[in-house]
Formats: sequence, structure tokens, C-alpha cells
Amino acid sequence: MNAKTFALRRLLPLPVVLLGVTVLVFVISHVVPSDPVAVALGDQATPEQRQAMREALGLDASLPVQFLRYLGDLFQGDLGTSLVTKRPVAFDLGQAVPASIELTTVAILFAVVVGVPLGVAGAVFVNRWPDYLSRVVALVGVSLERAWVAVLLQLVIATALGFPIIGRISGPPPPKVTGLYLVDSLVAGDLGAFGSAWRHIALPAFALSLGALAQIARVARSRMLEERSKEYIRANRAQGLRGRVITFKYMLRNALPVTVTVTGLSYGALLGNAFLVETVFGWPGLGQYGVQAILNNDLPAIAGVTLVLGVVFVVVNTLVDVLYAYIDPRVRFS
Amino acid sequence: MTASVVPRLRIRDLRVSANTPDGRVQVLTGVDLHVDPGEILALVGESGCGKSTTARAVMGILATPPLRVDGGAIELDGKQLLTLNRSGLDRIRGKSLTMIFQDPNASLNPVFTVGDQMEAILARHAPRGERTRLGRRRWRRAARERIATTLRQMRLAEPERIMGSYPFQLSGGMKQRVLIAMALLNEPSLIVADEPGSALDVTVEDQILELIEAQVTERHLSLLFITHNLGVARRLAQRVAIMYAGQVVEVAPTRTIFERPAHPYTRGLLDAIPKLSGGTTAGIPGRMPDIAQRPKGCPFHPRCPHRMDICETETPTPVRHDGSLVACHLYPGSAA
Amino acid sequence: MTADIAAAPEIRRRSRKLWRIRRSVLSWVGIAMAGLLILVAVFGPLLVPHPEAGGATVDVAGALRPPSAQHWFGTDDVGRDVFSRVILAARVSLISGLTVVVAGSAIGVVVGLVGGYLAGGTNVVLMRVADIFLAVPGVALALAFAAALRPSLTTTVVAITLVWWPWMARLVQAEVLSIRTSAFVEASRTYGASHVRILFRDILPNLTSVIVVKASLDVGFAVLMVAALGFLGAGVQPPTPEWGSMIAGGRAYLPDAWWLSTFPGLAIFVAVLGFNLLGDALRDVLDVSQEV
Repeated sequence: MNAKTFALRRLLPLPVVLLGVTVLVFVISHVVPSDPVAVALGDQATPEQRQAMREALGLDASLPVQFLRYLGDLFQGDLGTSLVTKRPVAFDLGQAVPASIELTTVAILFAVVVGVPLGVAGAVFVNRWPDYLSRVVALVGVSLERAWVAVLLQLVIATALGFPIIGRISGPPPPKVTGLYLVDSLVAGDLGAFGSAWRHIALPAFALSLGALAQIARVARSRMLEERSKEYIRANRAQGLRGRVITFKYMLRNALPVTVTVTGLSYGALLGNAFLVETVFGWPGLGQYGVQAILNNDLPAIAGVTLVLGVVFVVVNTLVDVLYAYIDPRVRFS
Repeated sequence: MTASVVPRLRIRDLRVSANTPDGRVQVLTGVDLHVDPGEILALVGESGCGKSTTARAVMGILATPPLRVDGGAIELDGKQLLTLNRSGLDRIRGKSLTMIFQDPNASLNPVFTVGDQMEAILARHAPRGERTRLGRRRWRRAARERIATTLRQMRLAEPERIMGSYPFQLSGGMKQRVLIAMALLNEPSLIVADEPGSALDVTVEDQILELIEAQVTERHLSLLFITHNLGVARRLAQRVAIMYAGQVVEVAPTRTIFERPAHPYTRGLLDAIPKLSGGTTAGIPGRMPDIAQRPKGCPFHPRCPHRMDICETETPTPVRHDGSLVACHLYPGSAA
Repeated sequence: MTADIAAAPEIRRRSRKLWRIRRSVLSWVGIAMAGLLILVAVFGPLLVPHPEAGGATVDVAGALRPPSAQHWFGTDDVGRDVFSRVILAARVSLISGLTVVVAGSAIGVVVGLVGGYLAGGTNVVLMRVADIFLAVPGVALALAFAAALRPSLTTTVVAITLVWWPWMARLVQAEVLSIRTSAFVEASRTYGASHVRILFRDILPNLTSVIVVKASLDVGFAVLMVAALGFLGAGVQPPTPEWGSMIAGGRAYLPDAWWLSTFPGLAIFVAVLGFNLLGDALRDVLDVSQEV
């Protein structure tokens, strides 16, 4: 089968999987040992107020009914109301998700653009200085505490400028098209906003990218080295094919699939673990929102964040599978 | 032996060593052989004797970090190969000097179609400017025609389908034929075949050998055929070279080797072949030594029924004896 | 009697020559660093110049002093010697890191063994369970856990162990799946060996190198996670010194008192780097199938 058929087949079960994620989220949010009523009202509420709140939150109905209501609400885009911010969770997420997506995407792009060439260079120049550089970068990237790097970067910039860089932009954000300030400012033709958005995203994205960069470089290097000793590459040399062609066409194409997988997994991991960097840079993303939700036992918000993350993981993994199948035709037939 | 003919391939005193955790070890200790134009030479030996290493040295595809060419010369039509730089070698390989690989499953890139891979070989060695002159589309069409023709000569039906297939979609026998086609595409003058078909069923292997024989004869090619199978050597080759523990111990016309083997090792090998006419077979006692522990003097001496004192200390040099070139102290002139 | 004859070429030979450790400087550096960390963690409290820095002593006059001869890393906001605190915090990180890896390996190996050996439906179920833990981001899960109960060293370790075990389980499961069809396992079965026996006598020994390499490489991960939780305030509580919480605490005094956040972070880096290098060195020795 060709790549398109494979893609369709892979995407079909998606709704079922997403449903599974919502069930999981629902179960988790009802298993966490905390009382939403207490959270919403605090300690000083009277029994009557508690009962009223229970009814308002729909907690008096049986679990299956609650789940159905939850599903129904979901379809209407209603994810409940945050017990802390008192706003609809959907609204809060609407602000937070684009911020996280933008940060994670820039970070992954950086990780790939730097990591893949670094890994490939390491393999091509094995045991010479580009390889040592590649390995050192990978080792260091994997050993650094992201929060610390973020703090240091803040420190350095704050010292240089006299003030720390916080948040997504200085000044009014561009009119909302996607919620991604970099994109929106270009759409609106506002180069000033673009510049500001870029200055604000560069450091957190860099801090966030390090771990993924290291992993991607390591994997790329390792796979390229494996390819070197493959018999069909020897055959290519015996056929007189040029070295550059062999490396960048025939070896790379075989080394890419695993690299793509690692990149995809890294995307999901970065999205979920951006907490620390977001906290340091005051980036209003999912991570910050999630941390606050957890520390305050804000169940609807926790459920909302987990749902979004679950959906993103599933979608990204599926996309990765499809891309993998496009690159490696053997997979389409298994 | 006509001295006036320039051999298509000449290997002189080829020495290759390998870097192992236990130190540097000699893999080839001075291989000498040649292949005349239009001739098939079979290089025969057990696993580990160095025949594949020799083949790879000729093609320049030795795994060079652990392996290293220490000395000697390899000439193709008089041209020195070992001193060529990478681009010089690349111009020859795949064109005048090609290789048929042993394992059809490992020797084709799994993520590209067969057609793509064959086209790449044609494109690489296309005469300068030919591609721009004809224009991309026309050139590709001509190339595909040429590939299809060659595949048909391999007795493969539906060449277009095969060209559009990925290697994993083809059977072992088909892949091996593709490998042979790849070696023939640019009309080489010498082919090095590394045990082709040995990874396949015996019946399929048989067809492959038949195909190779037919192609080589039709096209008047020279062939260096590596094998561990004496029977195959007998069937295909005009001359046979026997290798043991990193050196050639005997070279002779096929008939001579089989009727009047000179070297004790060759005799041992022949005695070990079961004959349909019955009778017991005798193995050769002992095993071929690990290259790290090669005996001094003649490497075969520990297992040789005709062992003499001199065999333990002096490596014999090849001498002529009754039509063979043999390296054994039994024959006068072998002591250096 | 297990079939430990030559008819089992797939078994990775366990007797590696230890001096085959890559003659690379990096491996020895890693071993030295990891060793140093262990020494510091064990003997630190005895060698530390200002042992009281680990507690709640306050010295307002001596607060926020930059690095000097008496205080190599300076003093913090209540006058405690930062160097001593960094050294003392090593103990916390090391204990946590090693405990997570040991406990997580125990769980992961058992689950992986069972799943890989029984294969089929059981394996699918077990791996889906592992996937659930994997789908939720590690820090989030650990945070949730720590936040639900009162944050402490114990909750931190338990939380991170819960996050980590699926990685080991998946790895073990994959290895067992491929080993269980080997010739020597079949041979054992023909000798009438029970499943348990096969698991522990035949299969497990072949996993040791994989397990050890993974565990040693991931000590660094555990240390980073402990620091992350500490940074967010959901881990080890003050006044116990912990690198992550020290970084967080020092933020308020940036950029002036830079030493408060910088040195703990450096310590984390050194520790994690050391264990990563150690893991790499072990991998070179134990696992032939790894890269060039």
C-alpha cells in the first residue's frame, strides 16, 4: 500500500483513542484525593453552602451520569470552570495552549536544526573534532537541569539589560489569528511585535531545547554510524557512487526514521515538561497553568490540562508514525 | 602461460593487517594472483582464509579503520589501484570494475526502489554532459530502458514491476539477479563475484551460477570468482587459486588442480569431497588457525602429513611445478 | 541442568575483560566523578566546613556574602555557608537518585519479565498500563503525587519511581520477548525446567548488562527530577538543603547574589554528567551491540 492509504488507516482509530483518553482523564480527576467543594469554597463554608456547591458542580449525581455530562460538555467545548481562576477552563486553555505550542515548536525546531547536523557531522567525522564537539554537546545537553539553565540565562540577560525578560511580548500582542504571536505578528505585518515576540521566546526556547537537542544529536549520530557498516552502503562504494551522495542520500534516509521518532517523542515530552522553563520566564503556557492547578487542587483545570496533553501526544505520535512510513516503506506492510 | 598478454587484474604481494583488541594481526600475508582478459579465475578457500578480504581490497571497500593495506600492488589493466585517490577510484568502480555481492538481502538499500538504485549507478558513470545534453526526462527514459533490457537478460520477467519494487518485495533469487544486473550495467571489464548465490537455495544458486557463466562468456568479461565450494570452482573457472590462512598456496588450470593437485592442502580438500563412486572421505586433521595465531613458517605445517623441519621456520615461496604455481617446501626452489 | 553448552551463541558472554573499558579519557573521568559524588555524599557531613549550614541557623549580619576564602560559595539569605549546603545536598540527591533507580528497576524488571515471557494478551495489558504512566508527563505526575500528599523526600522518591519504572519495564519486556524464542531456552524447556527456573536461570542473567546500563544512565535523570521537584517546591522541604530548592530560593536575589543559584546548579550538572559518563563507560564494557 502506498503512503496515503497507510496514513488513512492509521488516522482512523484516532477518535476511539481520544475517547479513551477522556475516560482516563475523567477517572483520574475523580480519584485524586481532594474535595472540589473545599477547594472552591475554602474552609469557612457552611454545610448549606457546601451542599449548594455540590449541586452546582453536579457532584450529587452518580459517576456514569457525571461522565456522560462531562462528555456532553466536552462536545460543546465546555471543560468546566476552574476552581481557582473562576473562568471557564476552556478559556484558560485557549490562552495557555497556543503559548505552549509556540514555545515547544520553536524549541523542537531549534533542536532539530542544530541536533541533526551535529549528529550527522559527528558520524561523518568520527573521532575527529566535529565528533568530539557533537558528543560533548550531547552529553552536556542531557546533563543540565533545564530550570537552572533558564535561571542562568535570565541572570545573564537581566544583568546585561538591567531587567529580566518575562512573558511573551512587551507591549500589546498582535490581533489573534492563531494565538501564536510570531505567526500573528507576521500576518498583521507588525515587525515590531514580531521582534519583541522573538526576543521573548528565544531564551526559553533555547533552554527548553537542550535535552531534546542532545537526544536527537545522539540518535542521529548513532544511526549514521550503524549505516556506515551496512553492506548496501559498501555496495554503493563499490559502485563508485560519490561519498557525499552516499552519506546524505543513502545513509541518511535509513537513519532518519528513528530520528523522526525520537523527535516526535521529544515534542510530547517537551510540551509536558515545559513547566520549569515557563515558571522561570513567566511564560503563560500549559506548564505554568498546570503547576498552579496541581498545587491548588483545581480539578477541572487539571483534567483540562491532562486532556489537552493527552490529545497532543496521541496526535503527534500518529503524525510521527505516518511520517515514518513515508520515509521507510517497509513499515507500510507490517 | 603467454607472457605478452597484459593481465586484466594483477595482485602482487598484497598484505593486509587488522587492528584487534589483542594487537595488530596479519590478515593477508602476501597474496599473488592475476586474471587474464576473458578468463574466469576461482579463488577458493575455507571461511577465514582471507578470500573475501582480497576481493574487498581489489574493490577498495575494506573496512579501513580496523583493516589496513600494509603493502603490495593491485593493477587493473596495468593501472595501479592502491595509489589512486578516492575520486579516481570512484570513476573506475561501478564502471570498468564491478562487484557482485554475496548476500542479496543485505546488499540492496531497503528504502529505495530497485529502479532508483540501478539508475543511480548509470547516472554516476554517465559520460560527461550526456545528462544535460539529453535533458533530464529523456535521459531517465533511456536509462530505464537500458535497465529493463539488462533485467530481461537476467531472465527476469516484468522488469518494469521489479524496477518499481522495494527490495523486501522481491525473492532472494530475484534480488541476486538484480545484483548481477547492477554489476553488468556499465559493461565492466572485470567483475569480482563474492560467493554469489551462496546465501540461497541450492537450486536457485545453480540457476544463478548458470546465469553468471552465460553472461561472462557472452560479454567476454573477466571474472574473479570467490567461493568456498570446489565443485562450483570446477564448473565455472579456467584457473583455480587455493587460499589458506592469508596467502595463496596453489594456482593452476582447473584440470591440473583436480587431477594433479600439488599442495598437500589442496589434496586434503579434494580428498574430503564425498564421491558418488563411494569410498571413504578423509578430513584434514585440525582446523585452520585463527589469524591471530598463525603458525610460523608455512601456515599449513601443523596439519600437513608431509611436514618437514624447514616448514616450521621458513615460509615457502611459490615455484612452478607441473603446470601449477605452488608454495610448498616439497618442491625444489621453494626455500627463499 | 540448563543448556549452557556451546549451542547457545546468542547469549551475550558475561565475562567481559574489564580492561576493555574504552581507553577513552571520558570513561575514567565519569567513573572518577561518580566516585567523588558518592564519597562526598557519604562523608560530606563530616568534612563540611560549616556543618550548621544544613539546619535553620540564622546569621543576618553574615547574609548574602559573595564567595570568599571563608565561604567558598558565599553565604545565603540567612547567612548559611552555601558551599556546605551544596555538599550536604549531595546526600539527598544521591540517595534519591539511587533509590529511584533501584526501586524502579525492581518493579520494571518484574513487570518486563512477566510481560515479555508470557507475551500475548498479558503483555499487551501490562504494556498499556506502563503506557498510561508514560503518557502523563513525568514532572506532572510526580508533582500531582507530591502535592496530594505532603511533600517530602519519601514522596519525591516514590513519585519519581512511579514515573520511571515503565521505561525499564519496556526495555526488559522487549529483550525478554526476543530471548524467549532462543534455542537455549527451548533446550531448557525440553529438560523439563519450570517457567520460574527458566526466567531466573536462563533469561535474567542475559538481561543484567542491559539493566545495569539503563539504570546507571538514568541515575542522572532521577537526580534532575528530584531537583525539578525541589525547584517547584514540591520536593524536599527546607531547611534540608536540596539543590533544586536552593536554585529556586536564590532566584529572588538575582542578579546580585548570583552565587545562590549558580553553584547548586553546577553541582547538579557535575553529578548528572558524572553518572552519564559512568553509564556510557559501563555500556562500553557490557554491551557489545552498542555503537562504534
